[in-house]
Amino acid sequence: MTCDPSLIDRYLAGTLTPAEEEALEAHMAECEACRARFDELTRPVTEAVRGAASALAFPQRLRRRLPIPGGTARRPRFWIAAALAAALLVGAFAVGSRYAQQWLFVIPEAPTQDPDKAVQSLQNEGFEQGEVGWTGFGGLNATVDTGVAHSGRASAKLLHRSGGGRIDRVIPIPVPAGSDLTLSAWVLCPRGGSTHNKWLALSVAAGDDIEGVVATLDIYDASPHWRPIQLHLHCPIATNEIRVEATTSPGRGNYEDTDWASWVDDFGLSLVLRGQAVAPARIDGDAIRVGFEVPSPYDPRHIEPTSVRYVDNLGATLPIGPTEFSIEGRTIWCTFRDAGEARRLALPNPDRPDKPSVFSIMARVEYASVSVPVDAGFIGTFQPSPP
Amino acid sequence: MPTFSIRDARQPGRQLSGRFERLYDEHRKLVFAYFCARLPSSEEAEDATIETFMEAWKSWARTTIACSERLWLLGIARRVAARRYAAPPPSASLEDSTVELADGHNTEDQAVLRNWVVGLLATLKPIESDALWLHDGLQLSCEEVAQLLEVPAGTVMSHLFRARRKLLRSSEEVGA
Repeated sequence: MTCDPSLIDRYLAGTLTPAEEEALEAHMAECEACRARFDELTRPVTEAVRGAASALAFPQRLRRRLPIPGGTARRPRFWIAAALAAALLVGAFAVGSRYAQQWLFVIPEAPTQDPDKAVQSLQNEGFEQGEVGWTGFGGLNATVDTGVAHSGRASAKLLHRSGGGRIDRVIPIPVPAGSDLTLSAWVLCPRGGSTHNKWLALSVAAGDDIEGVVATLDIYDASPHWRPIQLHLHCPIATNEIRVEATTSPGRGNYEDTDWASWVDDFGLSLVLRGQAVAPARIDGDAIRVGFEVPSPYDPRHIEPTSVRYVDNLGATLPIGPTEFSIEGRTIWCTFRDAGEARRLALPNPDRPDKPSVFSIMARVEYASVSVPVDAGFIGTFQPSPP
Repeated sequence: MPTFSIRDARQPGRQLSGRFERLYDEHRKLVFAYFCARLPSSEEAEDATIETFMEAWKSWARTTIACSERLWLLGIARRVAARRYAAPPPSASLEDSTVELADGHNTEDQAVLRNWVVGLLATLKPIESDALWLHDGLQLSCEEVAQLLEVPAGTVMSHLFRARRKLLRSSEEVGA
């Protein structure tokens, strides 16, 4: 077949015979010139489809449910962990005004309040120092196992006997109201079965006496491999301590002599703070200037400017941090540059035409040895293996 | 007694998790966008995305990926779609949704956008919509689409030509 533009026009009009269509398709597959003409004529379609695909925002709430394993003990990973954890919050805010924005700060150092306590709480998350810092050990049901570990040489071994094994720990950390916590850990559950059988449960709770502010994850499925887990807790009210707990349950029946066990290692805990803007965002060309008040007792001076990220209410994250960063008292001022986002912010806000809603999200790792791994929803959707 | 070696599992797990994190960050939007066009609701697209990465994570340690990572993930995604969501997505009115896309501001509305995509692709044969969405939407090359759909590259092109023609004619009819 020779090149004939009129054939392409007739192809698009649907006036070719089936045999002619097939011949032209085969020709266009080989002929760049004819394919270019076809592409040009159908450009509105390809551009619309391409635009739709690129505009589909990834739902940030999926961060809560998807496997995002980390699994390294190197410190820089903590900030990735915190960044991911902080990103989780975006979904919660995204349900508000369509003009709401979120910023994500990662605070790399301990808060000004009682730094000794903070340092103390970072210790022995992987049971390398035995039972130090943990309660519940003793007897046979909960022991430090120096022969099995996700990292290092030790982990906590919890038997699935009647009464179960249980360890817990109270971590002193100021948690402002509205904050979110993410507990991560590595678990090894080589034996198990169904909801009627044996399982491992992890929980993180706000304080000891705040009823209902607790997140729990039951792990029913068995696997011969260490797996990262993660669960999240929203704290609607302030607290000064967090309780972390791991328990094993025997399920139905008595299991006095069973040697079935689960292991837990390398706990991690990240805290995500939230603060509101102190003034309306100022838009100047592609520059978006915003200021946030950092919740007490956390110190704005500990925020690393390069770690600041901008996440909008559609879930999009600007690839670069702020171009300007300054601190005034407890307020952080940032300037981000993005023409598209600035244009969107400049649109009238039907809810608050005078002041677009602005939130800040700040995260700091308080207690961690591994980065954010697979989260609760991921583990929770495993199909139980046969008992 | 356990029949596995904790020691063996430890270090590889660490390396793998870091690589998987990168894989997830690089390709999660692609996988989600794929399902947005294939499944009848955003919730199902989210669930399917989760399921895809779950399967990917489970086989990550024991799989040697012979193709590109995104093709490997999309291959899993296609199996997930076929297994869990065999029913075709509901057809939507092209007339109703084309108007929304023409307004740039409305593309911010993800539900409208997703419905537009689903409605658009529902007017095509499944193989045509697959080829169009993978190539024109998700920007895979013809060779990659061919590998994924397990058909020759020429066949992919034929499906692309026909899909674009149908959509162009549909849009002209709407505009007429």
